[in-house]
Amino acid sequence: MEMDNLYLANLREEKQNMWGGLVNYFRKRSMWMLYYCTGCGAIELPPTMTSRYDMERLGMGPMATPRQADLLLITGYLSVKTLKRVIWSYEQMQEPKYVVGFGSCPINGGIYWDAYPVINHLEAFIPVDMSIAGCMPRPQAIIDAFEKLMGEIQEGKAIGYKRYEKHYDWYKKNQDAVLGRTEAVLKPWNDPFASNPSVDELMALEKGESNV
Amino acid sequence: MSDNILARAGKMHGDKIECREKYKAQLEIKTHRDYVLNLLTWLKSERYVHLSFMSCIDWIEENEFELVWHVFSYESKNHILVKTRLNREKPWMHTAINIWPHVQPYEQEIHEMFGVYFPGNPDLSGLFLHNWLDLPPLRKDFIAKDYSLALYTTDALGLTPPFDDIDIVEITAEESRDGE
Amino acid sequence: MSLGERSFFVPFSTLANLFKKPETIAYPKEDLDVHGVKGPSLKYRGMHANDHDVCIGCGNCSTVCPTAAINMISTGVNDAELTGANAQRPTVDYGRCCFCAFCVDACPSGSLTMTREYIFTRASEKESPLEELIWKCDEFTLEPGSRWSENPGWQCHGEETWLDLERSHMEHMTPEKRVGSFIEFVLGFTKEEALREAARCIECGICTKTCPANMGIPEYIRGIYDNDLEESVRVMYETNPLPGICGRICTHKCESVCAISHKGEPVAIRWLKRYAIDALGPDKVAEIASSAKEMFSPSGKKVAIIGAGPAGLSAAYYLSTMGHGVTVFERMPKAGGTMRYGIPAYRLPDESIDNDVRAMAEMGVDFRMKTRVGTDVSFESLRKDYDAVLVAVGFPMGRSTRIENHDHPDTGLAILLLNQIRLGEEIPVHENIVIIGGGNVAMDIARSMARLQKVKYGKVSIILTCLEGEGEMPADNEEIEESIEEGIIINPGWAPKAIELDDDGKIKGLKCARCLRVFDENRRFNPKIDEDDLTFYPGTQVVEAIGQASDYTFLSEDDLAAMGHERGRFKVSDGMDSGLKGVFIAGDIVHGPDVIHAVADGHKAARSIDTLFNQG
Repeated sequence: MEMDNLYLANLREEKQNMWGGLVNYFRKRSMWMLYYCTGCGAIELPPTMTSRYDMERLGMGPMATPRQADLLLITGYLSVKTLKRVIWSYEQMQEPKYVVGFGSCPINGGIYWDAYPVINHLEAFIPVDMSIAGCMPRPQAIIDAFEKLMGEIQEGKAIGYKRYEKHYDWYKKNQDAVLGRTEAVLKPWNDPFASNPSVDELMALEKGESNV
Repeated sequence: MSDNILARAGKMHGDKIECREKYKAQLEIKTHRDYVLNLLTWLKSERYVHLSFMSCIDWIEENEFELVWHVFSYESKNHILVKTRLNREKPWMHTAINIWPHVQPYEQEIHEMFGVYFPGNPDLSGLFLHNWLDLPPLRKDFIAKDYSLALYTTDALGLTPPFDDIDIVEITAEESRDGE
Repeated sequence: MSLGERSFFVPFSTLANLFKKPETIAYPKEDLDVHGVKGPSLKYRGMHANDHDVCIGCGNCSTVCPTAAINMISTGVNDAELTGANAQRPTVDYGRCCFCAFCVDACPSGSLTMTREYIFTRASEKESPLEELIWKCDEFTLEPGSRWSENPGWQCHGEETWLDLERSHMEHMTPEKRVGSFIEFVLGFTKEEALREAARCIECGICTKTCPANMGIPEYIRGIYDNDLEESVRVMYETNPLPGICGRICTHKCESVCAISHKGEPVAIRWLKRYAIDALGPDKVAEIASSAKEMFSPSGKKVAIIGAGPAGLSAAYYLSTMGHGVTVFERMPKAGGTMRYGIPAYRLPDESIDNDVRAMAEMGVDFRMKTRVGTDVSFESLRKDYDAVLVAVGFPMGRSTRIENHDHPDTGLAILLLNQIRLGEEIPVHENIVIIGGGNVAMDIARSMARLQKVKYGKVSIILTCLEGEGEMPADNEEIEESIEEGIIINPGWAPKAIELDDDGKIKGLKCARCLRVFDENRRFNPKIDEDDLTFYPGTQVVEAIGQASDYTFLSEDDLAAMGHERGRFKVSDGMDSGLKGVFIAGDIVHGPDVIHAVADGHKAARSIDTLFNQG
């Protein structure tokens, strides 16, 4: 059972490797982030990244492609359509990789909890290493979260990507439940024009109906 | 109306249309579905060259959809709303793609969100929704909350409900600053 | 401009920036400091704080929350034991909260506030993803308490609130006009006014708990708001068969605990009830009232009720809806008891009593008027002839202070004088009157006398004095205010010592001593009087309104003892049954003079009589 515990396994692995602590130190000090500006949270990133709160003093900077990034920022709500792209991006990223969920929406749906295209729990689809309350979180809260995340990386606790690997079936099942539906959720729609009728056919049909 | 469009429209189209001045520079014209294209063509020839937007409204109690074309003239700076009503059971409308080609995605979107069919529009495939099998979501008889509850909650995902037996304990002031 | 014209040292001018203060805020080493205090705006909407001592658990925050983030959870206290509050407190789910502060703006007690604390981050902790999901939802759900309250942000101080703090306007007669007659002076809501007033209710239900009869107040106000007056009246009849009367003279304990009263004026629950009854009309009300009877078939049991006051009428209504035969014995010519023969007509006109009683008569309640138990029919024969007897005789007699000269012919007892006024008899009215007492009966007699004085002498000259100090008087505040408006002088905090006579033996006035306190530490009646601080109120007539008494002459000593009689009142169980089998007690003689308590007692007695029949 002990071997099942990812935290212990991870710590053990790092203890065996004498360079583990050092590696973690450099990892936490050079994080490249891929900011996935899906929602309103993106508006708080410019002051965080630019000279006002200057994220670079923490050793963080934006990265162009998922393959080169360490950190995926989910800045707000995720619609089903963007969720699919987020999963693609996440799966492309090289390990070790970390996910930060901004604001209320990735935790429990936030203000969009009852909207038809927006998911409620991001945690059910990809592992989230750090969550920030707020709608949206201010730059201070974001920096606070990043510093905490750095602490977690140093201690070898930020292992969301290992959880994703180990419980991939669980995540995949949830992803499929939302993305790969084959049946209508409430009531299937019978499109009366499924056969793509032409204008003449429609006109004739209407004329026929009015005659009847 | 600086270009006297109200009077000219009345003169030109007579009892086929119903005009009303809504504001100083906004005119509303209601007409039958089969006459809309004639009217739009005439408006374009009267220098109303810009179709700003096209929208749809669900009047569920009257069992009708209302389509609105927003037409604008750069010369008279007037804004005209062309409106028509469709039967909600089998809503279809002639495409305006031959007058303004850029109306294509507007019609595509209205088809996706309301289920209004535009014969002649070359692409009525899904634009925004992912794998959508339910009622078009902007119809008033589609209950978004029910949909969300039936698909995205932990219950709906087949996970155990999270709020079953959680007792929430207030954290004292000493432990505040979220455990730092 | 060619390159050569510029100085070689121009690039070095940027070195000046080395000594400039940087624009960067190196959080967390430093923080934004532009509001006088480090951190965000002084009105920042951050995490919630809730003062649990002030919070009344009304749940309005939960109702208005646009994201369904606020849930009410039980505090574990027995809800029924709390007065003026519900035993529940809000929790906020920060996985939903959008920090809009609607909850704060709509908080009636002002307990919920927002703070300048906003940093709340959580790293993942669990190994299994499902555990992690559940843990995170849990972790971001907090019960706002005193945490963070030392750093307050957005608070709502009344004027910004969403609640409508002011009562809807209602037409009253001016004091000058109303003091000249016994016509009802509160004119009631119009439809628009009633709708506006009904819209002020937040449906917290604290009033329902406080009402002795547990009336469904939020439900019937909702009925008024939805313009469904029939439903509204139906809800009223579930717990109170005298809504027309209570809509005018109820002591409205509900309004004293109304959630809106913490910041503004309470919802006018009593006047709304009156509006629903008046607007629907007596025919429709009687129809709704008697519709409850159809649910039960006749049981063949008979109940005798002594006294047609609120308790007796209430019991009569509910017993007859349960299918029992009811006979009411009343010594006066008409039903209503103290409501008809005590409360002045300007507060409760006869028509509203008649309307409420009519509904019962239509349901087949047998009223035996002018029948005094003890003389016309004996108590023993009632016990023999009926399956159960309900004693609801109330307090028809007055009590005297027994001070010097209290038996002078120009003195009187308030309840008897009110009775005479209501019967249309002429009573002596002097030009200057002194009234002793600070309760609602004292206000009633003072205002009635003021009206008679106005008619007879064209002016009002009444001094009212009572033991209780200002703010402690047992009368309703409205009554006190309206009395003062009508020209009555109120001098609280004086204990009557003696009625002084002049040389001819006529009353000269009332001598009083300063009363320092009325109740002792154990809340027992034990006045402390400063004999040196004396005053004198001149007047030629003195009326005593210090309390009422009952008349138990129809009961034998043994019966009284068996029924648990003690110092003028009865001790009864929750089911209103006395020590004698088949004899029940209800109303003022149990709970003291209060119409809504009497109605509640009547309902309780009816239920326990029904239980008794079902057992037997």
